[in-house]
Amino acid sequence: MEHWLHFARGPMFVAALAVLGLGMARLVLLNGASLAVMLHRTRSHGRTVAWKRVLHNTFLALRPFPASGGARPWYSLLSLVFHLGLLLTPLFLAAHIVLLERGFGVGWWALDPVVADWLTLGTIVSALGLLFLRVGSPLSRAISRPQDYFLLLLILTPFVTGYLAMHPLLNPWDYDATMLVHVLSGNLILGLLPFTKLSHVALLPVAQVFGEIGWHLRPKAGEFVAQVLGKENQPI
Amino acid sequence: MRLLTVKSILWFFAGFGFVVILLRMLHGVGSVVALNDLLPWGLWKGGGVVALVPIGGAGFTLAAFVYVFHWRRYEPLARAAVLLGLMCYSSVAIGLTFDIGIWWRIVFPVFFWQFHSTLFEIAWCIMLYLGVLAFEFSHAILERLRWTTILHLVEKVSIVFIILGIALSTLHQSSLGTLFLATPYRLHPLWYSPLLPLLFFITAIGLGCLTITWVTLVTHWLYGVKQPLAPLTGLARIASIVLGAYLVLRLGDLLVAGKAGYFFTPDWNVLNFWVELLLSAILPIVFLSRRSYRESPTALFWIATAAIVGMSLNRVNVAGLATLSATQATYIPSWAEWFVTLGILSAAGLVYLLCVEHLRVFPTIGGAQVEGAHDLGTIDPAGWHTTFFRAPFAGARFFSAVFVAAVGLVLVLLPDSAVFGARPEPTPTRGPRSVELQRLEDASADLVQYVFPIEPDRGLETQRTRALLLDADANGRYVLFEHERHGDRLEEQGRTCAACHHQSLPFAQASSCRTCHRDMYQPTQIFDHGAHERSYGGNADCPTCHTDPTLPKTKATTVQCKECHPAMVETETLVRTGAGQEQSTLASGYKDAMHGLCVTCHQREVERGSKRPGFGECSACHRDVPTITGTLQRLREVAPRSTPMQSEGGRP
Repeated sequence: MEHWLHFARGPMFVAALAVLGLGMARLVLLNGASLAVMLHRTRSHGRTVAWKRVLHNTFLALRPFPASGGARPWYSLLSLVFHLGLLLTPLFLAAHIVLLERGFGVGWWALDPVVADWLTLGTIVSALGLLFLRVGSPLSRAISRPQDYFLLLLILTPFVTGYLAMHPLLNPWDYDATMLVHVLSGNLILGLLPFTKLSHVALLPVAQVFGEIGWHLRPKAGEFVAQVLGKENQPI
Repeated sequence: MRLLTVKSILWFFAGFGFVVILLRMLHGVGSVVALNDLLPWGLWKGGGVVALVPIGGAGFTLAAFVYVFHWRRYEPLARAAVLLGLMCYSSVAIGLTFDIGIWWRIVFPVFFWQFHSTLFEIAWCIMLYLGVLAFEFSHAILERLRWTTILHLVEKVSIVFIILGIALSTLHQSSLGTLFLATPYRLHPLWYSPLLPLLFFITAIGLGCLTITWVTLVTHWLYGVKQPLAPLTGLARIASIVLGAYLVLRLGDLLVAGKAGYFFTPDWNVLNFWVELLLSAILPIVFLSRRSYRESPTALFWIATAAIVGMSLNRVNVAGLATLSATQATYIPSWAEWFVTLGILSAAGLVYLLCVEHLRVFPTIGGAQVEGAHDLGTIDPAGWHTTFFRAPFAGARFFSAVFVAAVGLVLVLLPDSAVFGARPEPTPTRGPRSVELQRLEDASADLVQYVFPIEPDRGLETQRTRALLLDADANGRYVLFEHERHGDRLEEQGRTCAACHHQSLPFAQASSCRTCHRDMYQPTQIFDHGAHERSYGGNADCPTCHTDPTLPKTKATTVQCKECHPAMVETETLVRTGAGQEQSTLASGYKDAMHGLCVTCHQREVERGSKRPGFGECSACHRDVPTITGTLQRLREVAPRSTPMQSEGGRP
């Protein structure tokens, strides 16, 4: 078990980091190139890009709560807690920083362990809440793909195992086994980051740009749809 | 779809090679290869250089056929042959760069001329020929760029370069054989021959014809285009004649040299010889003599494959495999070596396909065929495929994902030493353990003696107590640490618990013993029995140390070091010896030996102004122990470098 743990924390972690770094570089390059092509296309069609609106929309999308409280205020709140815990805990946990200092010789300020504990619990609870809301709402369920459930559960795993590892009295399993699951799931998240919807950590700022210039219906698209549906003469 | 599959495989292996090459550049060649002193030429040189050069021989063979002999029939293949040569020789140069220990010295043959070295000649030939190939292939690039003026200029002088290229190839193809004339006793007699240079040259021509055949067939198959059979049939004919000449020469040479006796001895080497000869010459000659096989693409493909495999086996045999029986070396290429070889070849293959797609390499393959081969048909826009095959940049999307996946996978597969660099194995140490012992106080001498293990007979005069037994390297030379007594003694000196227990240190750690007992680090010599034996004249003088020949030769029955080397004894030591006991110093053990070994060089490098960060600090080696800090300068103060053993009054 110790051997596996060593392997997961060593070469496998390096591999996950390499995949993360290269994968992110790949995403940035591909999306940059696609953006250039799409901008060129937009210009050659004689259209202009409303940059102001794009910028405005980007900031609007970044707000944790929509102006009116949103259609699903609970979902917004849980999502905020979830994202806070997700960002802060792994990066500023004292134990992680000690590992980083040993391995790479770099370290930074750490969270107070009590705060980290509460953040972890908050993340677990909010992740469960998000899962519940996703399953509970028929509308959400209809547009959910398998990866939406899988990624949520995958993200939950290192938080649960990490909490259990830090609180041995609560942990029904062997410490090394818990740690192994913790490290493996963490590595998997790092590796999957550039290839799943998790890539929004890097692509969030350009998402609105793509929406603005990439998603236009063709001219007369509505008539085509009506034709396909056999409702040509009905009012749209 | 088959093109896409092949390209993804090539990108995958390119990712493998990319990582290993990067790690090899960071950590040195020893961290990735399985080579040893008996077999210093492994997969990279034997397979990647010696075998790839004749495969690239297609370039000069076809150049000679088309531009010197004016056999116009082969013109459609000439440019592809030059490109194949360019790819093979580039792979050779790149592979060689990573095979030499200090890789950036690959340019040294340009500046330091070693006229007596065969490798010097090969290095220059390959360098020049690579330049010539690049020049020859520049036609295609200039044509594509439509730089007609320069193209005309290049075409005017190109015949000079073509002849130069043929001359250079003749030189280095044969001198690769010359290289192995230097190893008459390493190489198995079935391969060693004074004719090696000639054999290497002839086979390069024969193999050149068949490799360009193979590459043409495969490229046309990939793009779904009908193969140009007329030139291929002609090449097959030439190859069978050249390989026939080779077979006659090789077997004739072996017969004349009286080595025919080896032919049928049951031995792995002989089996290897026959397999090699069968694949590289006999089978191709037999099958290519039939017209129907010469005109069938399938048959040609398999015959060419057999010849390439067989002839590569021939080069690998000469470069290493056939030396194993003479040198008794064992060598199995490591994964990393395979990854680098595959990676470089895959990258070369990708560049080749890139040229085929964008330049006019084959007159039969152009824009329409390339587009057709890349066509994926209609894709469901909602399916997962769109993540990777969405336009624009459908190819880049998919291949880059394959590349990244390969990088991750290879990092997981490689051993620790390749990823993090080779480091000395840490010695397993034992932590202190609590033991029960007897204490014997001698108030007059202010000395305490411990009896361990307990001797029940001495019950009255002694006092039972517990202490920590410290014997980290488990060599039986332990120290007993009695906490209470340490406290008492410190108190006598007016010091407090804080002398050892600093609450300010990380994890509230106690000071280590060496903080006070500096002389733990005093160096002494390790006893080298062999050196003593030699200087005393071997077996005759055993009684010098083992004084009583009737007794078993153990440490207890032998003269102590200090009898001859009194200077070894430490005088100002804090470690007390019991009354009536003498201070006898033995080798201090692994730790000091390792310190002496590493610190000397580290110190020298720091004095020479090494720019490596932290090279002169203890943490350069003790990476996993955050509490070990300080610089080597300090270590040196604690432990002065050992001086050569002085002999006072003894034999040398």
